[in-house]
Amino acid sequence: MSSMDAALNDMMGIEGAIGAAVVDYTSGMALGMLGSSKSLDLQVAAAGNTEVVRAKLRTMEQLGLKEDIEDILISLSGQYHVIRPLSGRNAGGLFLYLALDRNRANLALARHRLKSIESVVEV
Amino acid sequence: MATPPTAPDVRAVLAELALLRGRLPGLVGSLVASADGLLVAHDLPPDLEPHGLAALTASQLGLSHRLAAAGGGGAFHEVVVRGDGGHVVVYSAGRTASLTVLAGPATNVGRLHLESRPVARAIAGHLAAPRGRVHHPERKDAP
Repeated sequence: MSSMDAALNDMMGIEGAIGAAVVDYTSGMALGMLGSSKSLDLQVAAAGNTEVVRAKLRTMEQLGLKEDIEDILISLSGQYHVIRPLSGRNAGGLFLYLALDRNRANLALARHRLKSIESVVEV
Repeated sequence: MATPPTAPDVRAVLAELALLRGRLPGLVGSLVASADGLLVAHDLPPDLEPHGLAALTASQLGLSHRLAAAGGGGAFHEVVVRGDGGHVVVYSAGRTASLTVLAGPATNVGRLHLESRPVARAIAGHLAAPRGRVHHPERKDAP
């Protein structure tokens, strides 16, 4: 199993996970995804959230903030969406995207698990 | 702005191209050509020559159809050309036409596909509607 598949499996193993993707935000394309469905099209999510990440990076640059994004949390009424840009040597330009069911997920635990999964991904 | 065919089709195609421009902020321009390389409609900046681009697109389309078939990939859908200065993406729009989309180097290709594919399908529908208008040489996409 590639590290990408392992990472996606680990992400879907997080309590409450309903969809996971590894996305290249230079192109907006998903390199891998798991749990895509009619109600959560991960290709659409990958392209759309690429705009989110790019907008935030641009804003930070304009604000003169020389920091890195650890994660971005989007809270919906029924879901959490967590975006985690990868910082590894070989994983620049990628982010992890995880959609969680708000009723089943533990957000603190999910963020913690995502952080450890980040180190697994090698492309 | 556009060469024949009939005006209502061209207007419908131009409306689709305008829609695409509205949905893709990084769009440079777009054009629709028939499979034999004739320009149907375009929404290109003035510095780009639409007829030449339409002819080039037809060559790319023919080649891509054959390559997809020869490589076991079946019917051709799209081809992405990425250069220093930007992207050129050619989508099949039915069997008789193609949609070419030009976008900047930093464009979100995932989003580009999501917005352009339905437009290519809609254009295929507009151009397929009247019968017997588009005449083209034998397709070379059989294996």
